[in-house]
Amino acid sequence: MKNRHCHVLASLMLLALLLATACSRLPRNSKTLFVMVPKLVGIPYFNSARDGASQEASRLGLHFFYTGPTEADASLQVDVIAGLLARHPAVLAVSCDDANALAPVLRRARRYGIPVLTWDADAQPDSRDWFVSQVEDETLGRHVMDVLAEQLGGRGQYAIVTGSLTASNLNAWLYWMKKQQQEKYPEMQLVAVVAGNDDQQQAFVQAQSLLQAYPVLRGFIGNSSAAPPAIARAIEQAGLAGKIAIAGLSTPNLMRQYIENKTVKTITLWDPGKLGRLTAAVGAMILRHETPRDGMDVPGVGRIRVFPEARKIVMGTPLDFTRENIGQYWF
Amino acid sequence: MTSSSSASLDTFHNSPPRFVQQISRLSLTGNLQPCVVTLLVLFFCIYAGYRSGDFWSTLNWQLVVQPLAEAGIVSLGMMFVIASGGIDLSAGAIIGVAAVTAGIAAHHKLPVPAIEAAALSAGLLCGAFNGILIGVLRLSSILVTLGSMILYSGIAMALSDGNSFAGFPEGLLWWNDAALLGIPLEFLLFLTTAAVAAAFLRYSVWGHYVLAIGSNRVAARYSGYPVALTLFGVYTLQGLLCGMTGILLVARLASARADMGQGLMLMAIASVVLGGAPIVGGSASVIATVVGVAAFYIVQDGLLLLDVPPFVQHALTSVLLLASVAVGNLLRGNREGRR
Repeated sequence: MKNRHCHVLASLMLLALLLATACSRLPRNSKTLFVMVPKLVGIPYFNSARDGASQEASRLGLHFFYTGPTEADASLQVDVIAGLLARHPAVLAVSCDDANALAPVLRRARRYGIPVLTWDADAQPDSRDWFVSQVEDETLGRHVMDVLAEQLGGRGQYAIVTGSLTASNLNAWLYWMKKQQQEKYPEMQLVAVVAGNDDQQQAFVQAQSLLQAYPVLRGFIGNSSAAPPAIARAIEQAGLAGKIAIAGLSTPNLMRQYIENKTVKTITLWDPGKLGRLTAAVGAMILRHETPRDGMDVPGVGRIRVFPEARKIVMGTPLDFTRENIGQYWF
Repeated sequence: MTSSSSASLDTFHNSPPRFVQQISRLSLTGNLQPCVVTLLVLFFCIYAGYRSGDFWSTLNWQLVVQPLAEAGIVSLGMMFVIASGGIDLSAGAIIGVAAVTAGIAAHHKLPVPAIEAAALSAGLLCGAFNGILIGVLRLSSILVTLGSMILYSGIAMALSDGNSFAGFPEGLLWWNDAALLGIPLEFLLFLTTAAVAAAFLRYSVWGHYVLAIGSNRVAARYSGYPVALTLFGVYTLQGLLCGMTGILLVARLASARADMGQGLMLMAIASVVLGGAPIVGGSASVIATVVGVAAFYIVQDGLLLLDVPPFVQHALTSVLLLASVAVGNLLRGNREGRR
């Protein structure tokens, strides 16, 4: 008897939970529904892009919906997008975890008449209408290497901690970093490229073991936003702050402490909030059947560059955060 | 459809008359958890259909059954593994190896059947290796597959150098778009595989051995059952099914990556458990496994259409898993108390 009560209670609790979400019918707003999919949800970088996009979207009268996988995994992301197609959004904007893997589902979306934007990370060009890019891969990769080389005086061993070895945009930056070093800094030597899988703890462990394995290591590049703070922490714990240079891509919030205590001099990125804003603005342009023009001024973003052949929109140049300017940024 | 070995092993002693066994299979020893899950999911579907006008659209169901089919095929393999008293942690990594093998085969411009054969045999070989270690050398399945998970994902990573393969021939990508009467072919393939698996489980002597080994390995060995060969078969089959899933994933994503099957291993284990199969083995049901895997995908898809934030989706899906397992256990507890 007691057991039966237990399971009735358990079922009731589940029902209550399901009903707690709300009982009203969702409006069908597919004519103005702007759906934004990040590589993964729940990290500050994409949260900041979401905030920028949602502000701009509501200013332009779009219904904004943001969702994505909870892990950076291309097949999970494809499943999420496939699920979203049933809602027939007016515009779909995706930051692609893998350029190839996302292409079929995006092509399918276009077949259903949904305009597709990629933002932050591109898919195969024929699978989307426009790519909204933060900064050219080449410019960024070469710039980060310059930042490191300047601190190292152009010589010595360095290692790279990247996100995942399969993320296509990270790999593109990696390629240009290595190329810049080979072309301009022949006296520098890359000893290892390891993956921290966008996880601070993993990146920390990787950085620690690199420090042990290469005693004369002089510099690190952190190639995904979780890597540089993890490297800085590993260097501080090893008592090597100020002796080993760090360059790379991360957000001001993650790096604030290390830049303020001088473990890290410069960290590079762009403003994801602006990128989100631009993505929403481009989405609104598509809905109004307008074409983005080269050099046009987007409110809150600035002048953009448009490459109509490649159907690509570039937001701007990389942004370096240092002790002087980091106070102005919050993401 | 639920088959349990306890009845079959009893035949060595004084077994009750056959009709008593059958009745008890229907009511008392019958696994009620799939019924509980089905009811919960049906309730959820009504709710989701009421709140979102898109939930019952044909398109939604066409889209949801594709990933469901892939996870379903691995879950069927996992069902046999768990029924035999084991676990396969390397399933996701085997999918990765199969996908990357297909990628390499496509890169060398092999014809479509050769690409598919290459992926299937890669899966088969990986599974057979697990099978030899677990069946013949009698090592613990959790240790072996934990090791081989790392080994296989290492192999897949090394073969692909972390890149994703693209440029697959249309003949292979055809799997993604092909449909019969509006039902994606992938899903029909899954249903066919499930039917074959059910027949194997129910009517083949191998299915009987698997359940006997799962419920008591020592007894099975002393009864003269071919334990090593049976387990070898279980893991080889699992490898083959992972290879199949690998091909379907490659077709749907038009690319191959080493980490492709990552999420599917836990999904497969969870689906089998959600269907009510005891994790210690000895019992299995194809219908319950299909219900388990379908429940996950339908609920996740519904929650997505209901604007539920991703982390809350996960939380609610796990509530479904925990609640069903708890209710299933309570029902089982009631029965055992009554007996």
